[in-house]
Amino acid sequence: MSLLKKYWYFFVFIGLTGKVLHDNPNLISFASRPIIISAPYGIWPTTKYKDTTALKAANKQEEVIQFRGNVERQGWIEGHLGESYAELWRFENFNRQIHDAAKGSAVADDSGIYIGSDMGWFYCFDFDGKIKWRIYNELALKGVHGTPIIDGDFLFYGDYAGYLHAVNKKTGEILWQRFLGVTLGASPLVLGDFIYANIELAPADGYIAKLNKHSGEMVFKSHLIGEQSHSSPAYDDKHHQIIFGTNNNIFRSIDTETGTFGWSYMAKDKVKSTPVLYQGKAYYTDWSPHLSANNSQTGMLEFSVPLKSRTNSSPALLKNTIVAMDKHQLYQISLDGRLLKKLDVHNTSHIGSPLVVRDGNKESLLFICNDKDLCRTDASLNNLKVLYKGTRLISTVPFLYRNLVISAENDGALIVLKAK
Amino acid sequence: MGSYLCRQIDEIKNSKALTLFGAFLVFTHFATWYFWGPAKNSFVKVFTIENPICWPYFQSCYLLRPLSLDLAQTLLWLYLGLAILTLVFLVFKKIHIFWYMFFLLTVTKWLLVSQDYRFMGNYHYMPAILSLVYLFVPSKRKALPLFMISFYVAAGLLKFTPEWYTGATLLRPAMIQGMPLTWLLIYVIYLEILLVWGLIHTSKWLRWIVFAQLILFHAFSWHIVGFFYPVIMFNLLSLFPLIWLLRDNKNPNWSKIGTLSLVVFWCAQLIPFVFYKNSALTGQGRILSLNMLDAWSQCQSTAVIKMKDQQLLINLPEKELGVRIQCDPTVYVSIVRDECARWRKNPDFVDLDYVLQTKLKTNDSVQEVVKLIDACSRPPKLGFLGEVKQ
Repeated sequence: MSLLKKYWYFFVFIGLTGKVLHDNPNLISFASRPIIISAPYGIWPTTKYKDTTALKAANKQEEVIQFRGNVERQGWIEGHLGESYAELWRFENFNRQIHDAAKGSAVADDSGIYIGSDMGWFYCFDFDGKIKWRIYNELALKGVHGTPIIDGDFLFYGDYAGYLHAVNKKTGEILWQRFLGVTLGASPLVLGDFIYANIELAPADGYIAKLNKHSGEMVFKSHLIGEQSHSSPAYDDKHHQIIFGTNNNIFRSIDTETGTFGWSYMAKDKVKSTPVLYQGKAYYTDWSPHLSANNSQTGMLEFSVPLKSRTNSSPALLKNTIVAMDKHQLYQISLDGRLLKKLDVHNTSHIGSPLVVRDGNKESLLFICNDKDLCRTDASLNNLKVLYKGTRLISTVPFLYRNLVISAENDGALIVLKAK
Repeated sequence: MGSYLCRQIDEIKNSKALTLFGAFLVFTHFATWYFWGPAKNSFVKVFTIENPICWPYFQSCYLLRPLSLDLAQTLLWLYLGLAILTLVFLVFKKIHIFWYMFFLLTVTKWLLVSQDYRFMGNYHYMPAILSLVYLFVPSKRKALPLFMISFYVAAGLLKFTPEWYTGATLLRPAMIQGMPLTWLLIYVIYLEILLVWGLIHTSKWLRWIVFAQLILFHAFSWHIVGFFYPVIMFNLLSLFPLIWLLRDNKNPNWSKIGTLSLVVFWCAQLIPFVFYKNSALTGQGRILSLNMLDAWSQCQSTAVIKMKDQQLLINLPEKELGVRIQCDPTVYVSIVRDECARWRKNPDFVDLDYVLQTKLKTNDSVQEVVKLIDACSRPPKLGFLGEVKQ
């Protein structure tokens, strides 16, 4: 071999080696596996179908309708709850009990009623029961279980295929959608220009995603939270954090600006409920079963009240008290942790949460009772009244809009009731 | 022209090595017949379905489909018959007729492969290139080895990716795992780019050592890629021992056509590097070049079916796609065309939006490769190199 050829081979060899090591420096670390294969869910980009500039310009912040009424998830809504209701219309074959999670709850405004079904459809109905538009995701085999958010002309909802969708409320056009994980069970939270969503992964894990609500672009992705979270995040304005529970018993906060973990508190069991934030405390139920309150700044436990059975149901703020439900009873607890009253309600699905209706100074409570019925009480849990006698199990949080109450059966119809 | 072809035929006729290598090239067609037919039944399956995936250069392929089961089976048998007949002429040393028959066989296979993009694969590309060189390029004893070495070098250049080092691209788990596998996979790069030149070295022992390593490499790959690829490569590699062991008296001088054909080949290999940053991810630009399994892409292919008062978000069907083309935009242009045809039958159908997002298995960075808004009213156009335009 000539000297020139030897030099040629030598330099090609050095060049190749340099290229290989430059591309993958881990190779000289002698680690057992130099590169970790990335998770299949990856970081998929947002698919933008429509320009949202005009909608963004037309939107007003005060028009946001959040799950549980507000960003603190206090579980109240303004309106007038009637004394008796009759069925206005029903939409059959709405849910088929495909999954155990709470069925999607409705939101409504002047433009119509918005609700997802466990069969993969998301609907917009007019007030006569006619479908205005609907969207189907064939990948969401377990459908839509979270409650949508109305934000002006925007509407956001997550589904059980791991997609977060932004839709033009008026036309039903998909504005953008983003594949974020395996499942979005909890309802997202809209704060200003951003949307926060609990993303569930498989094997059981999850994270919090913060996205720009107009473009769907990811702002941050929190560290993994160790388990799935079915608890919708509540916003603590004072400390700029969101607070929620996870299925690994951790009740925690995350900074809304940076996505870093704040405090975390180890509850006695899974925290599936959405917390209520009020006067520096976060109230939630867990599977141990207890209703507990933690300091929203420090995460320290303030008190814990035992319940009779485990519950997924979220508490609500009723006349400066906290109400919570389990399979058997409705509890009224003072803000310092004293049990004020109990009421037998028989809500064996223990998922649907009570809704407080504020009518001026008067407050009343709307909730599922006897598994299939809808009931009301006054602010002291007196004057229990059955508003609607159902025939099938209900687990949605009832929604009140003007003189209508909207609910859905677990395996059956969407029901719209009208005050008599 | 006639005399040029006669010189090619004479060159084969006058060389025992080239004559025998002709048989091995015909064997690649037998292997293809077995692969398409008894082994996988993919030929009949692809020809009898309604929705073909068309090559960029033959976008109207769907007009010829579906074929009846009988016709598809007959085509496959005719292909085998043609290969047998070609071999018979070679066995009886009718080299002149063999040359024409082999040309016909090569064209026939190309026509068959052109009917569906699912037939895309290096195991068809390399024998086709080598067959053309065998048929048309003078000084074949020099040109053929250079092309074989070029295949390996081009394949080696594609392997500078973590997808290859880590074994992420391997179709099935290798019997060796972890760091030893990584080092072996890196060694393959050296083998393909550097050591492979030993095949034309003057040192006999070096030639045989490199040859043995290539045989070992393909034999090892058998349990990962299946039988077809190694069998094709064994047939093509037979060139070297034939040339080494069977010496010919007349060896035509190297011609400019040989140089030109090598330049054309290497230009084709450079197209993906020059024009497409992510050809490993999408396969774009590789229609004229090697398309190695150098990256394992994962993708989401989503369509929004826009109908009157409702929208359906669907995952477009994968149609039994191989790993190499499962995220290839060429495939999805055909699928979108079929979806438009299917949905147009529904009176409420308005249009369809389509998005293809792709990522590598070892990388979290996802790219939107194709985005088509109102894809039915504004049908996408596929460029020759696989670029999608609307």
